[in-house]
Amino acid sequence: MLLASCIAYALILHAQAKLINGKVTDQQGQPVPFATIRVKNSKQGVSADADGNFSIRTSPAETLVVSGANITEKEVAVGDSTYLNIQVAHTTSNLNEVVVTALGIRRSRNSLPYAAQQISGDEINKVPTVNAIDNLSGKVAGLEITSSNTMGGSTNAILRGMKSLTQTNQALFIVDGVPYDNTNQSTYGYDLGNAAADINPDDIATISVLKGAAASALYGSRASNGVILITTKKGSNRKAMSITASFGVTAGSFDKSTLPTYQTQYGEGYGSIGGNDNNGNNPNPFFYYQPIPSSGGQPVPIVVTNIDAATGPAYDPAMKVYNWDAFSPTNPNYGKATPWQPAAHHDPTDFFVTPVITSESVIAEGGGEQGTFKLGYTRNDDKGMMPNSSIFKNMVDLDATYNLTDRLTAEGSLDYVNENAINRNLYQYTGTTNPMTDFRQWWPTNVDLQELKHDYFNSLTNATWNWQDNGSYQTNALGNIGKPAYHNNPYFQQYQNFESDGRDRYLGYAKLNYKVSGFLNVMGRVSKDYYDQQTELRTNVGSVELPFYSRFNQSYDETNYDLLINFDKNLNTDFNLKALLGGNVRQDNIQDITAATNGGLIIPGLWSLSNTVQAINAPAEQVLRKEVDGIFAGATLAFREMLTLDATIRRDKSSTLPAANNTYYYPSVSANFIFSKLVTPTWLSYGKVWANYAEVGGDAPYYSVRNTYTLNTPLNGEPVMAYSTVNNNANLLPEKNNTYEAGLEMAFLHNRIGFNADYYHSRQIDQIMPISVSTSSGYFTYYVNGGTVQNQGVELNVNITPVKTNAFSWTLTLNWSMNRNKILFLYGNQPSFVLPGGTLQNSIQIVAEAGKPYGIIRGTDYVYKNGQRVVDSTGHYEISSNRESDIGNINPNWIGGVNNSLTYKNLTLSFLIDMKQGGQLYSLDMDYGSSSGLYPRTAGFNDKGKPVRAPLSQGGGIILNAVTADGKPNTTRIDESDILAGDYSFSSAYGEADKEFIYDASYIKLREAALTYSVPAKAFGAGQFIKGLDVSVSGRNLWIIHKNLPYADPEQGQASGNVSIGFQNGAYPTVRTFATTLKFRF
Amino acid sequence: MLGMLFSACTKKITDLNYDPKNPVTGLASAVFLQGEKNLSDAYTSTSVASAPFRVLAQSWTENTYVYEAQYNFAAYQAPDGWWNNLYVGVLRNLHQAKILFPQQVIGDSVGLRNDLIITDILEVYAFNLLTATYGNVPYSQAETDSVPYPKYDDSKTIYADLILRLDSCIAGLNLSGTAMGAADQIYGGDPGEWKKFAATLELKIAMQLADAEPSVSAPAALNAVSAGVFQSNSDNALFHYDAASSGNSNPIWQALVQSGRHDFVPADLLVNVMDSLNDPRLPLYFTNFPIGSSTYSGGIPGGGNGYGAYSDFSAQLQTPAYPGDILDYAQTEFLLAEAVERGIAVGGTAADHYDSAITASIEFWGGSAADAATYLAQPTVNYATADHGNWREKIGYQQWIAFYNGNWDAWTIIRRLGFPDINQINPPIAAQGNLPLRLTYPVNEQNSNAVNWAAASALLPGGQDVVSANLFWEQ
Repeated sequence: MLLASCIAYALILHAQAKLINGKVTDQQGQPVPFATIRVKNSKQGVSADADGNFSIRTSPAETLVVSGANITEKEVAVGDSTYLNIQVAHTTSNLNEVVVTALGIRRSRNSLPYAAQQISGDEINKVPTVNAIDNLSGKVAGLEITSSNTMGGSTNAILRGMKSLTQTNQALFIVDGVPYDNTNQSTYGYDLGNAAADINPDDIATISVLKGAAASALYGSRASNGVILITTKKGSNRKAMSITASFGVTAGSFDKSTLPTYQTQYGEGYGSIGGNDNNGNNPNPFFYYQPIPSSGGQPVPIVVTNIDAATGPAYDPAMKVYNWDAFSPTNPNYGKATPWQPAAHHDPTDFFVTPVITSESVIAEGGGEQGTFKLGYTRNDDKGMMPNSSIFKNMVDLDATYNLTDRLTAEGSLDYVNENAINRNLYQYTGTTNPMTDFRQWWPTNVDLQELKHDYFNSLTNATWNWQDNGSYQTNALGNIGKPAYHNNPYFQQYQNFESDGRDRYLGYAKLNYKVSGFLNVMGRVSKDYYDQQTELRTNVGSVELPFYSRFNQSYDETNYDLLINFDKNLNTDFNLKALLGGNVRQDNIQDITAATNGGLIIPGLWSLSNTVQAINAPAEQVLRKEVDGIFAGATLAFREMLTLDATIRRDKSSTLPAANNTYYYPSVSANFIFSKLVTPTWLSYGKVWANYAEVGGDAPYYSVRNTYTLNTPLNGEPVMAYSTVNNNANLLPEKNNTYEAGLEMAFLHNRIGFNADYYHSRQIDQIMPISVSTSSGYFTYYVNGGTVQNQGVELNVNITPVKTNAFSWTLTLNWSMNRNKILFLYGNQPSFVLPGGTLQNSIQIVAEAGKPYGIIRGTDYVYKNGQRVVDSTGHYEISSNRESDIGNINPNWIGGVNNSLTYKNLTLSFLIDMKQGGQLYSLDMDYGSSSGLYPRTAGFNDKGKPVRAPLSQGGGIILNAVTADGKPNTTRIDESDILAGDYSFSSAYGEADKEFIYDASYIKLREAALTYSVPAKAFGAGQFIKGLDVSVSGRNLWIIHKNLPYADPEQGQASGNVSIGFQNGAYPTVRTFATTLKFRF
Repeated sequence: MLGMLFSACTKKITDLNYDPKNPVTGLASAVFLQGEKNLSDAYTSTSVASAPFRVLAQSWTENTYVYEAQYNFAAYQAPDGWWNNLYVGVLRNLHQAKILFPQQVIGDSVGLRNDLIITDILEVYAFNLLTATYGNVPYSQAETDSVPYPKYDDSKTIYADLILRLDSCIAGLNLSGTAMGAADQIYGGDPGEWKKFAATLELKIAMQLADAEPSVSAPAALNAVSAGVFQSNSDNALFHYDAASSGNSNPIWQALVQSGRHDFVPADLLVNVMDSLNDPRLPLYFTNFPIGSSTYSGGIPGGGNGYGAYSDFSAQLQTPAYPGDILDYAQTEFLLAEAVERGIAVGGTAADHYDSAITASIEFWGGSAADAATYLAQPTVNYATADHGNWREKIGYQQWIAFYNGNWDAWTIIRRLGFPDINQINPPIAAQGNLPLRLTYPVNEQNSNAVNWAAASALLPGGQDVVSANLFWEQ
């Protein structure tokens, strides 16, 4: 009713008079938004919209006065025209940029009563990227970007710390007003990245980051993690069509500091295991000693290939032994003994290929008085570092607007993305299939990668460095090749067991905008984010594991219906009122189906579900449906562009909550005061303070109010049904987030130095979560309203322009933020809770613990006395009996970025230093790699200058730096010579605690550097076909200036998600990328 | 535009929150079968993350990754896996079946009663595994929807209640009535067989108490025998795995064959003991090593071993449809032999029961009566002359051999009778202490059920939740 009467009121007003339309532009013809247009000597006035358009009722005799925050005031006589194009001049201040805020409303930054930071598309694309989100790293205070730095890999985008214990903490993405799904698509340990990677970086005009609840409250519950608001490029109504084309090539090289260094003293084996081979006459039990076909029945020394560790015999080039290659039928060394020494090509870079990305993009735009259009096409060819891995991406963006009448504008947009990938990177611990975990955890240096490559391509079999058993030594021949004990040949893995996936995505909207009068506007929009994707996994016959083929198909469909009524009027010369009333209906429908072969493949290499040894199980199906109906209202009252008061309220009704509790309201109030309007000492250019309080309500995950049964595969023809292991809850209440924040923004010395700082405090309370309970209840989890998580922090931006002359300028931007996070309460008396995904390999847990920060790493720790580790009588460390000691904290102390930009005439050099201080991670790579004796820390020479792994009798062994139980220095030397004897002391599998492998995750990186040259327009001459050319050379991840983690980049995690940082397994090396881009304007 | 918005709203949006793919009500017999399958899976499993008992008992041992063989459970957390499999996988489904049967078995009160009793018998079986593994465990408050953090009950009290429940199950089964039929993949719903199962289970539980609570043990054993325990291998409680789908196949096949992994070898202790006794089950249990020879070789517990360097498990054990054996006649006769030795008047002589047990085991594994007779005729095996001195040792060793696939029972017979005394004769390389007498409580209990866990830990001998704390019946 309210909506209807608003419209009626507006229509009556409109019926009374004729309007003058117009547009405010600057000297370059670019629209100037939000200027105030008053009729001189009257109270009547209107505001221009974001595109500079305005309509005002007046007569030809009047004069209009145009003023605004960052323009010089101008008077224009009305005269007889009905359309006025008013050109104004900008003042010098750069603080008055226009920021896109919630619901696409553009506001001058002057008037914002909350924390928001805007980045231009040019800033994002300074270094070319296929994932725009990665390029936000270090550019926004309070935004923690963790990118996996692999082909198509995941990116975490967390604003102001982790809030939800069990649901996503990723910021919400909105593209041109349409929510854009950013679900992490990773599956079965393959990193398929986040869906926001579909956003075409070339199409981005601006990115606004709305950090706090007050800024984002109108978006509803999904916005409680903050919003990243993307505005794409639109056509302009310049009459001439313009075409921009750009071409880029990016090539990568590997940062050696993020790759392992191996010990090269000892090769493959497991101590004296050869002594167990039932041959009583073994001269060196570190080898097997058995006959092989070519040895005439005589036992010969054979490398212990059915072990994947490097705890075997010391290298001795004078000794000839039968290495793994002696049993690989197509290898030149087949049947031959070779010197026992490290292989020539055992470094992972011998396996990697050079990553190359090529991109081509064309954008055509044009328009006239009645409308505009833009059509863009971008293609990326991304070849990854792993052999046989690639992603091809095609993106088409079409936008058009048309003025149906003076008042009614139609607008439509369709973005299409098609993506096909092969061999995404594995990130989970699999033990068998992931080459990167092999290289870091199970990789004796007697294995030559080029030989493995040669043998794979010559035999097309799983010719392996870890033959299963002694039997294979006798029988391996082409056509009868044995199986690996643990690890596939990495080339067999990449070429025969390849993953592939594809996605078609459509994002589109249709929008009608009706300008009821100069101060009342009604917008209606239907939008859809839809994608279809499939992922196929393959394991061919001959692999370590049971061969299989599986296929996953999913469709994602989110539809939003929006109605937004905007009111904007100068009540008198002092007061302006903006108000909005809106409604949103959001409908989700996600469907997926997964099917797999059963019991093996009949025909090798045929990737079909019908190629199954046993009848396939019923495909697993999922249908997730949800609707949220929201109504919201907001008002902004401004006094002389000095004081602004904002208030909003939203009501949501969600289908996922029980009917009795499914409607909830949440308000926000904000105030903004530009004090420099009152006091203006000469040194102060600008000053404002703001503060706000906001609540955001949240609903429940799908299907969490009632228990269901699962139908499993019938057994001997009998149906089998399992009861829910989650106890759902029919009495769930909405959850809530309460946030308050305050900020100060100042500029000095004619805006040459400026800063803006804020403090925030947020509490996520009554979280709807599946709390892990005692499983003696029969359930793993109960759905409850539990969990209170508090985040508070400080964010700071500083802008300095140390030099500014006509020819040369240097600007420096600094972003810095710290967040302090604390779990205040879980549920009942429960002291801690393993976060979803927090149960990790080697029994490492990442938990929420009441009274501590979100994300405590748990594992085994040492026993300490006076701060020193204690050893037992054998000289080994004592390990605390608490298997789940707190050993680390994943949260950084602070993050920051420093961006420098130096411009000389048409040449610009910029570079970004990106920093993270604090936070810890557990490295499974270092732990498992130590247990298999890969790393130098497990070998080398001891205090006596003797090899660490020599027997005590030969002066070997080590004395751990520790004390005995009575506090005296440890003097007991450990014999490290034979891992099988049980004295070996490296790794948590042997003598060390998990704590040993906790590392500081801090880093300082030279993240980006770019040199851009704009060829002056006059170089092409007037009227030439080419109107402009930008040439740039840039690089990303160029230098890790500082880190404390050996052999890896601390940023590498486990795809994306709440616990994806804090645990490192099979970390991919950092790729330094170098790009060249040409950008033509026609 | 306004109309568009309102018409877009779904009228009754809460209807969207019904999962269209998973039903809110289950089929009672299908839920029962899930519980029964999960029990057989849990008991048969080779996983060191839930059932490391074969390794503890040195029936099997591990290759390369030898944590559990050295009594280190930190890496794979078997205490959590075993507890979860029983409380969530088994007991929750059996509990739900008990709720659903009365709603769905209409007009057949006798059948309904039998259904509920059979379900109850399996619950007793599962609770016995729990309390005999950990000690005090949640019992009276377990499996209720409203208690997320159940208190722990005294183990002795649980034992007494389990015996009571079995007595009433035995009395309540109606042999002329029907039961759930083929949904029971052990006995096809035969109430007569379930009565024998209940009695045999009661005998087994009674004998667990023989040292600590003779006054409870003896009458329960007598009750069991008078109710009628297993009489032959045809009474064995064998769960029928289904080769047609890998998820419904025997967990041993899944772990040894399907996975492609080779984490286990036969343990030297079992191979060597059987070898020294010329046991006819050797070729039924193991393959020869070296390949092509007629000898057998087992891996060293706690040593790195290496697949292919020792005998492998026999082919029959590695087939997808190999049945899950959760209680059998051989065990029954061993229990009866022990009862006789303890002076409980169950009838027969210890030697006869011992002979019947060994014969049943050999025949079950595929040997002949003649093989058994030859074996028993050896002085080293014959009950009267066996090397091993007292009855505990004789019965202990032979029962342990028969429990090659007995998993939890193989470990428990050592804990109960003390033989073979692994700590003396074959301690694992780099073992962390002696053979565990119990499993610690799951880490998850410490995290979530902290108050009750602390109280239960304090009641353990020594007041610490450690594997060396002996349970009340372990003397």
